[in-house]
Amino acid sequence: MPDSTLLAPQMTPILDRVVSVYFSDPSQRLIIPKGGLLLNQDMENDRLYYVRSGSFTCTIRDEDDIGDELQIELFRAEKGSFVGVYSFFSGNPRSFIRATALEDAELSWIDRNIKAVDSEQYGTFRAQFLPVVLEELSKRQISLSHMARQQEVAQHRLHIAEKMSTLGELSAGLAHELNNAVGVMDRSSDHLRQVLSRLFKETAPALSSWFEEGVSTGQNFASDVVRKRAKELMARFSGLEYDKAKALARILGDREIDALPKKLDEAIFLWETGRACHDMRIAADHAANLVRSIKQLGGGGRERQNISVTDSVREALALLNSNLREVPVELDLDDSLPDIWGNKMELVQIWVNIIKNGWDAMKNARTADPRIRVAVGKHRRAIQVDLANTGPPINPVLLQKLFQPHITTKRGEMGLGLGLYIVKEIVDRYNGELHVASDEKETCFSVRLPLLQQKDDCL
Amino acid sequence: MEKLYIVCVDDQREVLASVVRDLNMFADWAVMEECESADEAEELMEDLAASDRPVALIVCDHIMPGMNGVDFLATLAADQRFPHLKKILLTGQATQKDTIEAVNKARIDYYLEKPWSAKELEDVVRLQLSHYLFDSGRFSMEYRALVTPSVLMERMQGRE
Repeated sequence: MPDSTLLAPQMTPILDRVVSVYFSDPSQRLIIPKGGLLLNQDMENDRLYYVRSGSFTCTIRDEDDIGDELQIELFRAEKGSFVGVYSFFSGNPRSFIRATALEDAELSWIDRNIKAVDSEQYGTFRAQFLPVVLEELSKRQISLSHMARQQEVAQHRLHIAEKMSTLGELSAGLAHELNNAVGVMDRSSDHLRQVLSRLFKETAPALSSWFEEGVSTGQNFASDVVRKRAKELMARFSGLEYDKAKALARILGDREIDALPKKLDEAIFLWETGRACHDMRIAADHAANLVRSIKQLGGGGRERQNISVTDSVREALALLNSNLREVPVELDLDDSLPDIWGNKMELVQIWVNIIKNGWDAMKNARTADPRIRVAVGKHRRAIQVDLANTGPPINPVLLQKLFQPHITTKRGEMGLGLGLYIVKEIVDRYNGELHVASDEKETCFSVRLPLLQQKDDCL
Repeated sequence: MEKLYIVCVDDQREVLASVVRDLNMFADWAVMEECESADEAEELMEDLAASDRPVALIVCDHIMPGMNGVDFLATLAADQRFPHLKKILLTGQATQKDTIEAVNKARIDYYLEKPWSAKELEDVVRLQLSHYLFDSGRFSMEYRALVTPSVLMERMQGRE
């Protein structure tokens, strides 16, 4: 509805005078019950009405796609508005709208027989009513643009909802199929591993431990380390070829050996076969994890209720318990904060993603003094959660695109780069804000979730 | 016969190992080098150039932390020291825009999507090595079993 502050304040005394002078005759009052008709479109009207209480919806006739008649709302006349302005002043005595009472309403009216009061001081009747007409028209215009804006917002939300539900359905279906496929590969490769293990124990008992080691550890050493170590091995064992030396370096890393295995080729072959089994299992795990993140993107229940943000943070910390054992977590939680209207799992997802990212960053950078800080507090009409870590500063270029999909810094982890994108997506759904500040001291993600009322619930 | 060099770049160790395993059939003719980032590959290329090794082919992942594959291949395309180097982009994320950029910017010789098949990778690598041998003037009959027959025919007949 139009905001009264948008109207020129100096108009009020003029309007008050007009209302008290012209619309105070008790014999010219009218009660319209809820649903009752005050004006109909094209009906002759010679009255100007002032709404004392209640409200009207003012509509015009239109046809829908199949030719049925429907009423389109043009504006609403609330308490303090005038109805019949057009037919009263324009010279065309037919009402161009239908006015229907939305609730029991009381009106005062004047008709064309009215005479100007105090015309020496205030001018002709038309001059006295000009501000009334102007204000009424400007009110209607504001209300119209407000309605258009609301409609735009509604349309936008509908669009997002459609997109998300399609993505949700798609991802749920896709996840199911992918999980099946990954499951088959995982189980089958495990079966092959057992068969090979048995086979090698029988045919090459002296070397089968090389296979088992390949299975259990895979390649633990980076390619540059392997290249360096291979050269050392070649220097130490004359006659060792470069490709064999590299293969051995992959297995040994920095471990020393006194002598080369007698059957070096076979040993390498067995280890590499074992390593292939190891890699299949790793890949299957990664695939399963990715499917899980995709599912989070689109789906899950979105039902909301009043929940405590602090509780959701505790839940996230509990979920991350095993990851966080190695790092001190500094907590500043507040249980007296008001609830927000939200979905606990969505909030937990935000905290888990951000905290886990921070922990991974500190691990990868081998941060000397890894610490995590989580604080929950109130900031104006929002709950603010700060999640900080002492990891390396995020470079400004990356900071710019941190929340875009497929941005990852996690070397070799087959990450989808969706973690922070999911966070952004959820925070947006709450009309929340997301800030990152990163310097040498700490990297801090701040999430603000507005204290929405249930009826303000957005999609 | 001097062995050629094939440099494989992928930040995912398991993927890197699979690529190299699939290329092992070329071990008689080429040395496979693995790198887990473009930076590491850049350093390795420096070493190989300094010791005058014939770097014939690079098989590079697209999306990697640090410099991405397309940018890295673009720097190699502009590097005067490797005029005949063949470049294959191996990618799991192929939009049309990525492809166009890779071809235009990095002047790649082949675009291979993940997951790849061993046969396709083999054929592509064989073809690119064949072209490298003729382009660089290194071809000798010792490489005969390596070279793709149709390329051998064309080049022997002096046709492109």
